[in-house]
Amino acid sequence: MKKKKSRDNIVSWILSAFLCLVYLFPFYIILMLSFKPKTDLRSRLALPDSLYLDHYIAVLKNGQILLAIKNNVIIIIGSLLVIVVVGSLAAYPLARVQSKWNEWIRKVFMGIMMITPLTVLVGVYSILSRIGAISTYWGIILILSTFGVPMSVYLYANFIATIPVELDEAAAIDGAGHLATFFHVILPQLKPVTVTVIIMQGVNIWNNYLFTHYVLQKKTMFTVTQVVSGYFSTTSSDYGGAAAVAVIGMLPVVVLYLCLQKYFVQGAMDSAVK
Amino acid sequence: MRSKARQKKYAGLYLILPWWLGFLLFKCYPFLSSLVYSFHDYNLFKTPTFLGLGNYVKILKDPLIMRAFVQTFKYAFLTVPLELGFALFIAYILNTKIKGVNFFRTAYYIPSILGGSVSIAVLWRFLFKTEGLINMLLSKIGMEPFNWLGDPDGAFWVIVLLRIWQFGSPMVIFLAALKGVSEDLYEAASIDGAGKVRQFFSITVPLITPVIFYNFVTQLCNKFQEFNGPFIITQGGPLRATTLVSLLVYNNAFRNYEMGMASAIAWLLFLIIMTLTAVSFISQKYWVYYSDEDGR
Repeated sequence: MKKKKSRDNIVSWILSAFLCLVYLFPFYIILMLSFKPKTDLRSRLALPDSLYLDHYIAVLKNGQILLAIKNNVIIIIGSLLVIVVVGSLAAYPLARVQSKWNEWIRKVFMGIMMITPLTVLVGVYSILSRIGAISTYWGIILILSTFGVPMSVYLYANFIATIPVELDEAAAIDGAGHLATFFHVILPQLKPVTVTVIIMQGVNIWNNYLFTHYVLQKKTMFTVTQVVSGYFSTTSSDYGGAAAVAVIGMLPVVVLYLCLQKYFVQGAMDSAVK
Repeated sequence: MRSKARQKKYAGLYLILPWWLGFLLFKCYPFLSSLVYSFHDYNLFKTPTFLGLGNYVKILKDPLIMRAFVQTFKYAFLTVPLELGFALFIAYILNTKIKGVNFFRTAYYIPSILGGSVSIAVLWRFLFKTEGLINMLLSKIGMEPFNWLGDPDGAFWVIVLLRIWQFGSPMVIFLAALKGVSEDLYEAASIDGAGKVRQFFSITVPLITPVIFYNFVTQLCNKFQEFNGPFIITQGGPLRATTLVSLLVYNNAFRNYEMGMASAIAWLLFLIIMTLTAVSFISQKYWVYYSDEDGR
């Protein structure tokens, strides 16, 4: 019996290891492409003889990608501030007030989540162009945070529901208002869920293309995703350069994930609306 | 006294205001204004002229637009089952107590954190170019190279494969659900002589139907809106085989500046997604198993 089980495990292990190799193969290819000179016509699978950095140097010298990274950082910090503050504020009464209202708001919330970015695309674009928000940081920050807030409200509300109400009541007896209670009692306890929110939303924003693509039309405002796609279409013969830009575009997210894995997995599971 | 209790009950709701302000301005209003535009001929520069159902009639009469809807259905209903099947399969393997489970879970999740990232789409183009890697491997094993991106069906499968490859987030959710299935059930079943396959379909699958349902609905919604893949990898071609509805919305709005038409197409897609979601929710009671503890 026991022997059978360990044999099963070995089969599973070999199967997962094999699939894993196939699965991660594309990443290996793009790395190799970015680290090999154009003249290296040997097999594309082979490791390069030496670390060839010219593609990266050329891309960095061009400067566009650095500007894009700066833009991304500004947009991400701005959006995350809005998402965290607005989201946690809204989640507090939602988690605490028990009434028919609350149930109603939850239902509306589910409805909001259903509204697809594509459906509002034209409406958003026309309102942004009317208020002069095209190609501005605040314009893209407002849009990205509007679409990020519902999920953060959901995560925060679930988390706040686990904080004992007695703490609020004690603060209320001491004469603290709702806002004061929120800042002094609730907010300090939200650290773990805030990390999840920041990571999930930060990665989403870093990867966003649909909104950045049409809100940010000035070249100096381009984000990393836009530069990567631009690089690929304009310099279509410069595969090494395009590969290098693509790697730069992926690297921060992958590194963040490898360092803070448990939050990613936690986030994916917490955001599963049951 | 009563009003005071009432006051206490509802006070604090004002903290929701900032969220609702943003929601009304940048989601609700554009949502409704898109609906209004969909009944107009509107191009941002001139005043809209009312067309009634004109745009919608045009959509139904235009074979190219209808083709995009058909391709989108094909795309979504092909990708989602394959993606979920793969996700469940890997989750099932990883749920056994093998060495290095954490490593495998990490590895399998990497493509998914990159989500709709443009880099991923670019990577995919490298793989499937005529002189790309897949063809190189094919010729190594003695097969003819294939013009993946130049062939309508080939290009379609290329964008399908991309999203199947990114099965990480449903996998993580499946894995959590599988961990929740009690060992006792499997032991009882194996004493009764049920094999692994039988156990999987008679015990595992029924017990995780709520999660299958959740993954199915969310992934279906996502796939109906797929944009980055076809936009970057194939630009909707060849022969419009990968022109999904989202690309049509984009082309109408930002290439032809036909905002009214773009809105009509987007709204039609929204109605389809809503209908499919509603049907899924209604179908729940026939196949989704909720334990009594949940009270659902």
